[in-house]
Amino acid sequence: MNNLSSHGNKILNDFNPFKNFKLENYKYAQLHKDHTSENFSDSSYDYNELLKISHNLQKTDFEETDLSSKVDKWNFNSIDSYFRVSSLSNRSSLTLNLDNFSQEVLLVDVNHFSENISFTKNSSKNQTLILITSNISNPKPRSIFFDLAENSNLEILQLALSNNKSFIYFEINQSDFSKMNFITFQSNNNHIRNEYYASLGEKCELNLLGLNFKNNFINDNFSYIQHSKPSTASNEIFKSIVDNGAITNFQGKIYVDPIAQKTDGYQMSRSLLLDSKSKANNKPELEIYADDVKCSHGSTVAKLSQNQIYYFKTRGIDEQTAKNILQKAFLVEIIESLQNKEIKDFSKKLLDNLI
Amino acid sequence: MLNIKDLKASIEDKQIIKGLDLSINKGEVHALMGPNGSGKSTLSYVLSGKEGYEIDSGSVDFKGKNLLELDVDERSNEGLFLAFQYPMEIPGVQTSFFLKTAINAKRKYQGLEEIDALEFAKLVKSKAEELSISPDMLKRDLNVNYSGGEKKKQEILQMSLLNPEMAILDETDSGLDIDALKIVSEGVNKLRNENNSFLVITHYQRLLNYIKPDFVHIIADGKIVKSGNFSLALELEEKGYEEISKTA
Amino acid sequence: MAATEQTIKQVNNLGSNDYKYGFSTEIDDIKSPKGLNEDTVKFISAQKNEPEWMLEWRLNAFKVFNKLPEPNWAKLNIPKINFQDYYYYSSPKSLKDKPKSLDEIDPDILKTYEKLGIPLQEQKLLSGVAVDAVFDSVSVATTYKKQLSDLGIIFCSISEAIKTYPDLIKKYLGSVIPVSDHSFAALNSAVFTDGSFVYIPEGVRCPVELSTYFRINAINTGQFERTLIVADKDSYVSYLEGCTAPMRDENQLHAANVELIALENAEIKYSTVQNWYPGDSEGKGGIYNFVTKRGACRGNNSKISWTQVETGSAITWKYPSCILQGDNSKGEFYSVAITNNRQQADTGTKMIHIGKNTSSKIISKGISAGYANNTYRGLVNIHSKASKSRNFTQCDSLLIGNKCGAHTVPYIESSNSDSMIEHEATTSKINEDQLFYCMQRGLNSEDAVGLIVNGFCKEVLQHLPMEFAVEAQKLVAISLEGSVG
Repeated sequence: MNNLSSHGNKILNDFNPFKNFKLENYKYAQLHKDHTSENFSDSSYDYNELLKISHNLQKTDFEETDLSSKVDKWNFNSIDSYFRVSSLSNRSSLTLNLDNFSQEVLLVDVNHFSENISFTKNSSKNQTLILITSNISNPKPRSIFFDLAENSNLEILQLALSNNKSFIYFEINQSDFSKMNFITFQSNNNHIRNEYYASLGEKCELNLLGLNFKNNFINDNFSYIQHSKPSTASNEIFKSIVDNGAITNFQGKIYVDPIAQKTDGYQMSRSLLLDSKSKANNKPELEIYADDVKCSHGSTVAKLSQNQIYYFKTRGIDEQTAKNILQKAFLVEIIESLQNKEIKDFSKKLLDNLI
Repeated sequence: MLNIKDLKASIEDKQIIKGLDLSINKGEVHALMGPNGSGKSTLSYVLSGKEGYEIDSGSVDFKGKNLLELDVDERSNEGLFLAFQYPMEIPGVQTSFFLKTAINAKRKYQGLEEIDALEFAKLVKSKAEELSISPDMLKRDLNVNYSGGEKKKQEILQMSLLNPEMAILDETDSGLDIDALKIVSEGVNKLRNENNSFLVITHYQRLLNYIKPDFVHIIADGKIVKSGNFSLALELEEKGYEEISKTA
Repeated sequence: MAATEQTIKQVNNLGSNDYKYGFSTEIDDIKSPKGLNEDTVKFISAQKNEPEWMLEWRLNAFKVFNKLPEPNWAKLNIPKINFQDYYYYSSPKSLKDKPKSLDEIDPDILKTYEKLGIPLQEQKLLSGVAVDAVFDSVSVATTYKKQLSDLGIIFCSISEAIKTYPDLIKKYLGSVIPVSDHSFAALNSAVFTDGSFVYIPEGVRCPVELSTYFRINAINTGQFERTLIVADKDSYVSYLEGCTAPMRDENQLHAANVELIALENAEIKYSTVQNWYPGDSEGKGGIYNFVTKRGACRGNNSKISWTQVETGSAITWKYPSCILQGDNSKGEFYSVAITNNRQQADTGTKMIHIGKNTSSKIISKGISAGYANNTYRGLVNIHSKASKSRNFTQCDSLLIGNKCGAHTVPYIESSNSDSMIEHEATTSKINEDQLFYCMQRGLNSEDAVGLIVNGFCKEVLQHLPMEFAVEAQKLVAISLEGSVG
């Protein structure tokens, strides 16, 4: 691991967000800060129900692999990930080909792994992978890679619950004509940051959707979606509800290469601030070098609609119930985009229980 | 006036016009009828010079000039007008300003002075009234939030202001109710004289009850398969495209 | 709308790519020694016969400048600037003794203004524009003064204000843009040469548009103007700023500071049409435009509105901002930024909501053509005490051709649950079907582009005062010449 490239060394030494707090890409993440919240409890939740509908992958299903070539992959732009470089230099890596499993729903509990993980998929068979990244309390970043072959498709549900510190780098490499549906469900966390780096081949589709609520300290989502071939589409929606002095951050960039004509890029971040101790920071970014494109982003920060709450009350529903219903209604759009029905139902129940 | 000889034209490597001949003389009104996908709108785009349409072979002569060599705006200034099936919305550009700009572009091409503001106002007012276009509409952005009927009236208003020698009406009747259809047709009929010509592209015979053509052509698969007089349109209405094409 | 029509005429009258304002005037001038050190600062202060306190202020700023790194947040490719390569003061000799009336002014200078179309002559002022014209570093003449002074309005060069109204200057200069804000702000504070000062007394509505026309003439001169506008309670002023510079192969440096202060119920409207020389089509020459503009809505119910049309400069780095301190105060930013050939622009705004019930609106239209890069960068920040505040932002980018870039970088930060932020942005290319439609009606391709882009920018242009709107619409069309094949 010592033979890092000069780029890798530069990132490790000069762009370490735990030491340099002013890095643009880690602007709001405040990774160096420690926070012990009274509200935070290590409330592990029961996912036996999930095990009934999914196949639980074991460590023995994985093979060792060398991912050191991934270090320099994004070395062409000022934007690069400390998480990737540091996890590749600090952790060994495992790989797994999802095609080897016939089950439609697979599950991996990342807390059982100290390695970086690389998933590959070649087939177009419908498959949903549940990634449990919960109860993690480790400031050392880790990386999870997805390599989708031509024409393949994959759905991911990440459950990030009850983490004290969880810093994860996700990389999505999509070959031509592939499809990815990535949903992240984040709640009851103290300090988490997810990074998503995605590169899209010709006519690829990527949905990257996230919801987060009831967090204690800092919830940070950072994305960099690179449209590097023609006719790609990306759709990114993040919704957050913040209260109790928590901070929610969304930083996302859509990059369109000069050859990526006919790109369709959409990015939306919406936050509900429930009190004035809490904060929402959004930095949705477009960097576009091709002219025949349709790209847009939007961002809103607001509170729950007083008119709607009033309406509920006139129908005899108390304020807290009304607020809960409205919060669920705000977030459920993200869950609705899950393709697998059982997983969707499970996620809705989970949302009901947690709000 | 307009002479199309063995015209073949493609878009994205797919040939749509496959050897079309058509000759239109001064003072004549021709109707071009055909089913969807027969090449009607493509012909109007090829004649007006829209980008993306490749001429594979053939020639188009307009008033003794090679039309295909001219730029879109030159064709317009030479007197070729296309009334669009779907007129473009141009946000931020006031309709009356656009009209004035177009009139002056033509006047400049003809070596004339720009139109005087007062004269312009009078001219537009009278023409707009004829087409029952409200003065309020002229203040709005061009075609933005216009109804389908308003857009088509706007096309006819532009036509009457630019006074073309050769006007192509591309499915001007689509999306019009009967009242608007009458107004639009009257507008066209008023412009008709022995010095200009019309090519009326339409799906249905209905419009031709109001704008009486001298000749009717039926287009199928990129070629004119049958030509005749007004009675051909009636026959078509009765028998349908398939039947007529067979007998051709 | 007659304006756009003139645009089209104007374009036709011009040879392609000719910078209309690219003439330079031969006049003897007095320059500071080349380079930048404490002596330069002292030289400038001495040339302007400044009081001691002002020199102290400058020297302090110069110390701060030496400590600060250059700001690097912009998405710009800025060649290393050697601050020692510039002259920091240049004054036409004949202005050494300030002219008492227009008759005393060097006819060559007047001719320059005439070419620029500035209504400097008294009779032209009847059109209602009072001008404080800055020729390189010294204010040539401040017109319309008498009429304004009858209302108690102060409109003069900043140099004069330092001597005549030291209390106002001491109170407000640097109060919105602290000297230590960033290195360009500090540099300007150390070496600013001239600029305008406006004070509108309580309850006065300034009856005319006040205007400054900036022009960089001398070779290798950095121009560092300083503008300070104070609108006292219940007052109103609209201020126009126009900028052109002659064609030169070297890059010229321009680092201005503009500070606006609106007290209770006051309103300031600040409009800029920036048409500095953009360099040639290969990117040679052109102005580096590093401008800090910031307004403070200090009083309740105050309002500051920025409108800018940025078509010139090789590099534009500019973020006119509003600090909304007073309750119910309002900030607005309307911007058109056009980059063509090798131009680069990184421009936007900051809206800082501190007072209650404050609102801000941002409308930005970026157009990029040729090999140019155009970035919108903006911050909306709502403090936790700023309850019931609102922001609406709309950023649209238009790309003409596939060698250019358009970028949108908004920072949206809210700490108040009772507030509302909405941000929307789109990027698209110029619509081919609209172009075809216009050309079918007889417009040539450049006119058609000018028309469509003017339509795209209308929401911003309509906020300019009439005289400026005409000029701006012409510029929009002219700056895109040669951008369509």
